[in-house]
Amino acid sequence: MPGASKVVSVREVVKNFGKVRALDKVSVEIGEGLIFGLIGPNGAGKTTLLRILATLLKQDEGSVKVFGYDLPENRALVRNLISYLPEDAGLYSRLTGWENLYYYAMLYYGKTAKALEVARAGARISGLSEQDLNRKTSEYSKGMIRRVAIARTLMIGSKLVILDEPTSGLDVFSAYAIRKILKEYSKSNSVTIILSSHNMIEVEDLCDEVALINRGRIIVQGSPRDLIHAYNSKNLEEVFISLAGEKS
Amino acid sequence: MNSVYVVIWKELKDMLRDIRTLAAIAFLPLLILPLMSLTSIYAQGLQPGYVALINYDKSYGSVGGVNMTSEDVVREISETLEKSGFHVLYEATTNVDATIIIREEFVRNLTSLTERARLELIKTLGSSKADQVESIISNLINDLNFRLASLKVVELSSIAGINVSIDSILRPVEARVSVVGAGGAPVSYEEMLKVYISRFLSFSLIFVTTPSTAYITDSVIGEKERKTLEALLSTPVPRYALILGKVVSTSLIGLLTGFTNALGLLLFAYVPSLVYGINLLNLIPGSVMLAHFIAIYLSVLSSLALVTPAVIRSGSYRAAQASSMVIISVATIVFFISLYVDIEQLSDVYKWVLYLIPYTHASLFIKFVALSMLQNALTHLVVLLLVITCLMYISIKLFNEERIIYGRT
Repeated sequence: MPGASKVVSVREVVKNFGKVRALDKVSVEIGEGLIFGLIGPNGAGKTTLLRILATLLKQDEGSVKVFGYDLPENRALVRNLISYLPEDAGLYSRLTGWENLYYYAMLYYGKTAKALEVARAGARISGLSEQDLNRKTSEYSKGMIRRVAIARTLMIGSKLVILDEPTSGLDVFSAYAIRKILKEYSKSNSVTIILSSHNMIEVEDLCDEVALINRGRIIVQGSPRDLIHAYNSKNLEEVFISLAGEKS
Repeated sequence: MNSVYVVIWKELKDMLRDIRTLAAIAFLPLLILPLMSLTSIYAQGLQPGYVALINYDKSYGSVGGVNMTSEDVVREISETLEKSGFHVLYEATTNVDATIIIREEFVRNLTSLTERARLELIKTLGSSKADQVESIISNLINDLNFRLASLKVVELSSIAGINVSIDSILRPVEARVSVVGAGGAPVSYEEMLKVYISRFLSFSLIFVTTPSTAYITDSVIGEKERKTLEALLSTPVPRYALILGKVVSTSLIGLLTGFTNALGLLLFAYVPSLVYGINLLNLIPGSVMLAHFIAIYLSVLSSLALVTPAVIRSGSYRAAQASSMVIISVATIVFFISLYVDIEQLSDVYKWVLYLIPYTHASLFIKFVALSMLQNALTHLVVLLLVITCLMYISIKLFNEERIIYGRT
């Protein structure tokens, strides 16, 4: 059953940048096989939390476990188990779409047949034609760049995928295409996906469970349906506004 | 090492496809430096020079049985200047590069045994040709002085009724210079030239130090600014592989750009040498050429090793470039010093401070190869590799994801 065992366990995590407290005693647990949404306004602490999970930042206080491994002590180990897509992630513009995929496959598997196989899987996930994949990515539209970036993140086959604002800045059609890729991938592979978003409709559509974060604190966590019901709201946006308003 | 290969694979593809930058950094010096050399030679010839030659002297004289008039002096000055491409005007005018005035009684004083003749040269401020006129007139006067002094010695010896040698009176001291090698054996003029050329080759390394720093900055900070770095850092690729891969690939591009820059500088000197009928390349032995090539690569690596610790701790392109520039500028002092000073002969304090800078060993490596002192050359080569390795180790240890993601300028 999805969610039975914990893939991510964050307890009382604090992260400061100088005098600014980005995360203030954040605790969250994420079960296996879920699509988990982290929602909140700009500067709420979403990216900071995702960067800690992606092994790029060290927390100042508290404990973080990914697949039972403590971070930051086991960063090298955890990096083999996760794949991360930062917000507005770019591609190497002088490389083709295919080369971008192959490079990432090689970063995980070296110059092996497996890397080639993984890159081919990435090409399939991206949904781009062979002709498009053989063009330099400097010629790509924003939507195409994001499709390759998402494919690059998913193709690795990691059991934990971390996506920071995967559809931000995309038009309706591109965002829909990305959501479709994510849905299909999570259905066919039993992976845990953590994604952050401003877009409550998207989160409602995609996520099994969400956490609302504001000013570095998790306000509430639960399934979108339960939260809407519990707070007697029409949608997740109303839940968030009422909760964020109360706490601020 | 597989991870290092993967990083190099991507970096080389990325850098080699940036044709415009590569052409600007690598191939323009090959075109521009020889062109600069040629234009500087021919531009001098294209610029006309004007000299006003005013003669106030009507006197004449005789010394050592030779009669002279001021017309003889005017003719000699005019012919010499005209041979060097100057137009000589015989009236006072302001629109000239220089004015030469032959004062009254010039020839009488010139041939006198008690007086001195006076010639005035007035240079026009801002004229590049005026210095050339000064040099021509100075040589001419030296020649005239010696000829007149010789005639006077002949006349005086005749009056005194004694036999004299002109040279023993006018040039009583004769200096003979010879050069010996490290073992004390005499060496030829060509051997001596080779050492001068090796100093020039060492100095030419100054041009290979900077292009590679632009590439390493782009490779690290460029990734951050193009938003590809964060995802890369979350992959399992080891940090040593990331830094080593970027430095090695950058050094290969740096080798290409450094080589063309150094070659451009050699052409800068070679082209005029051909114009004057000397083939400089014939004077550079193959071993020194090879040593120069090795030194170019190691100087590129040294530059990268010196700036990488600063680049990986910089928050922005501008900050990384500024800190690289400062580090390289300070370190390249070595190349200027090595042009005039034998570093290994300096007192211990200065010598050991310079030994900490990797470029010192690259420079000494070339010098000792030129002097055929291979053991010393090898020692500096090994020390250079050790310094580079230590600096690379420091870079790997200083690498910090958080610093690079959130780094400020």
